[in-house]
Amino acid sequence: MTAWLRSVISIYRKDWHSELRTRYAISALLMFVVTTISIILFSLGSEEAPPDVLSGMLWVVVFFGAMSGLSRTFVTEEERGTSMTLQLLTSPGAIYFGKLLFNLVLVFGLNAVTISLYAIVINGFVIRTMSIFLVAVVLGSVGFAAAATIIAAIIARASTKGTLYPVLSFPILLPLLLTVINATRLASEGAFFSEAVGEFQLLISYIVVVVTASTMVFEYVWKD
Amino acid sequence: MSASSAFAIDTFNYREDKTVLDFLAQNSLYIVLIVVLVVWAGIFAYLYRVENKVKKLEDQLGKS
Amino acid sequence: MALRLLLALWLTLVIILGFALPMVAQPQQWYDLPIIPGLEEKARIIFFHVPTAWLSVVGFLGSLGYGIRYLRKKDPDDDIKSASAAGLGFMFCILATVTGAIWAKFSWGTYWNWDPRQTSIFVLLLIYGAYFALRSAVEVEEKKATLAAVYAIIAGVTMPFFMFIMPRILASLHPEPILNAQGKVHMNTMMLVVFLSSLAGFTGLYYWMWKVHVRIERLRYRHVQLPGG
Repeated sequence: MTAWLRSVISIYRKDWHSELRTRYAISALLMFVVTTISIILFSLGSEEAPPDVLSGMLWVVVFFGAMSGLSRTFVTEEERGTSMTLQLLTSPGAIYFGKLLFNLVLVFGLNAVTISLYAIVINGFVIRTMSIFLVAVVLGSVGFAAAATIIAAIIARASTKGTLYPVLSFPILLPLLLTVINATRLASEGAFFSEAVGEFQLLISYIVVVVTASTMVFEYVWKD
Repeated sequence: MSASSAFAIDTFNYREDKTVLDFLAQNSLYIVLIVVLVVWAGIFAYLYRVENKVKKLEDQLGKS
Repeated sequence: MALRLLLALWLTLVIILGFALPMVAQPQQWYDLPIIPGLEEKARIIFFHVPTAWLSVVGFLGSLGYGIRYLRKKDPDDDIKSASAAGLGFMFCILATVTGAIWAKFSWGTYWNWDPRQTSIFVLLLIYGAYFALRSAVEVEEKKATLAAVYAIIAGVTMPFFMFIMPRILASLHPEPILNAQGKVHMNTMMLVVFLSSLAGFTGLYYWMWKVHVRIERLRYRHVQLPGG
């Protein structure tokens, strides 16, 4: 058990080390977030958009940020030709969870930046019930990571990876997106925490279902 | 838009709903019915033809 | 041969009944259909639109089922069946979306209003699109089949969430979709008979199309495998 866990951690750490070495992905992602939010800012001008629109837009930015960054962990393996070696080294399960962990950390980091920037810069985006918002962000991020990771594994073996990734991810992530946007809207309207519990239950079951399905299915994707 | 207006000669002694065309003009729903039946007949004929072609191909390739 | 003829006659009968049975305010005869307020004659669309949506789901489930079988046994024939089911399902999904939009136009005034039914058929359309985009992006047959099956599984697993989400998110704003307003419990008997017969007939049609499609794909597969072919 601990050997397996150690594999997971080492995969995770390996991915981070290679990311930090080049810092390519992280800077690209940051620039992406900044650019997107700037575009939104400019197009809004001095107008104040209604709160549900702003809630939705936040998660659109998050979605495309995720699409820019979360496939790297598998695509780089293919590009660098290390995929075969990795297959020999450890079990598919360890690989999946290691990369999931990597994507989790990446998503949390990305969202922290995105949300802070968004909240500071976009007028009219107010969160009245912080507890709902925080829980929604945490659960939403985990859900994003879960779905994005398995889809990333799938497209890593395909040819048109870049464009294919959002196309495949969107239908899968849609339930998550709708729920989390709704929760954000509730948070910005100042609803009571209890009102959002339904959304949270949904998010949790989504996460459980996706991770379970991914674990069962990953070895078929991974093995050549 | 009654069919009788197309037949100027009949203007003075047209009778309602006497021809099939008159009936259809009044109850357009049945025009749609006929259209749908024609479409269905076309689809069926197409499928039938395709299946026969496949059967022929299968026999040919099966031999080789 | 006889089965095909039966199918032809069955669906012909369904079409005729669907159009010709009289709609009256108070159904007296066994063959009378009730008038649904707000829809009247246009309610007949239910006999033809709903089966297309039904077949979109059948196509997806068929694709999913054969995909799982493929993952287990790696038999290329299962992938052929899976892809064929999806191809037909895709076509019927497009038909369902379009006919649904037409219905929405004369029921609620706009072609599209993001109510639960329309949104879910649209999402199904996206899934089909993604499925085929994935298939065309992978060269190697085995990998193509495997990845397609995996995606079908992931999609199949997340789809049910829509059932729970839809009422929550959209209930406040939009009118009840027609199907909810007159669910199976409410449907007049004769209407139900024609409706179910239509469903059965269309399913038979799907099955026939699928079988022919599978045979064609098998030929293509074999032909490619043959030396010098």
